[in-house]
Amino acid sequence: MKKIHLGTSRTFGHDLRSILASVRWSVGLIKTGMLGPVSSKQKKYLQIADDGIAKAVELIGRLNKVSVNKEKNAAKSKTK
Amino acid sequence: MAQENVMATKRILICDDDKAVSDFLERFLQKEGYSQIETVTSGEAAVEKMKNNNYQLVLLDIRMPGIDGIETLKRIKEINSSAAVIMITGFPEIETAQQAVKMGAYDYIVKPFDLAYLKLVVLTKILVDSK
Repeated sequence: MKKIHLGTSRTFGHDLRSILASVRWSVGLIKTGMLGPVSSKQKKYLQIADDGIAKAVELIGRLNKVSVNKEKNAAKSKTK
Repeated sequence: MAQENVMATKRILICDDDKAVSDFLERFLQKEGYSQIETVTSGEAAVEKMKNNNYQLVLLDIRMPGIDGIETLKRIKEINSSAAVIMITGFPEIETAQQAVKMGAYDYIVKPFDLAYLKLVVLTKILVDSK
């Protein structure tokens, strides 16, 4: 059961990072003005989106660490 | 040969089961001057492509349904040992990174990576190989 849960966490983490990657890259490209002029007001909103993505990535990173630690602890208790 | 000409002649394969990611990377690299880019969404398809084409660089996702990125890397290296393979992953693990590098991966980058970094890694590898 633990293995299924861990596998799911990993898959969720991976899939979420993939989704966030395309969102982050798209926001980044718009922000740099490569796709056309961006007003300062628009830039502010893009920055808010960018900050939100960064926070989400950080959260996923923390969740991944929890998953890995759980896996290590489970392996340790098995060997005891 | 001028840098632009070198970039235009190099063949790049992108393999990611998330089509949004592979399509985005394809467009980004095209915008940067690479014109010979192909995308696939599975390890099996990447291996088939490698059998019939000479790619200098492969961007390869690790977690995919079917054969995963690590197994795909192994098979790619058996077909073309000189192809530079950059592993991309959404779940960073030191063990997997070490394994990939031991198996001949050129680099290992974590999503959502900085596009400027990807641009630099790809360009450096392609320019070094063309010397």
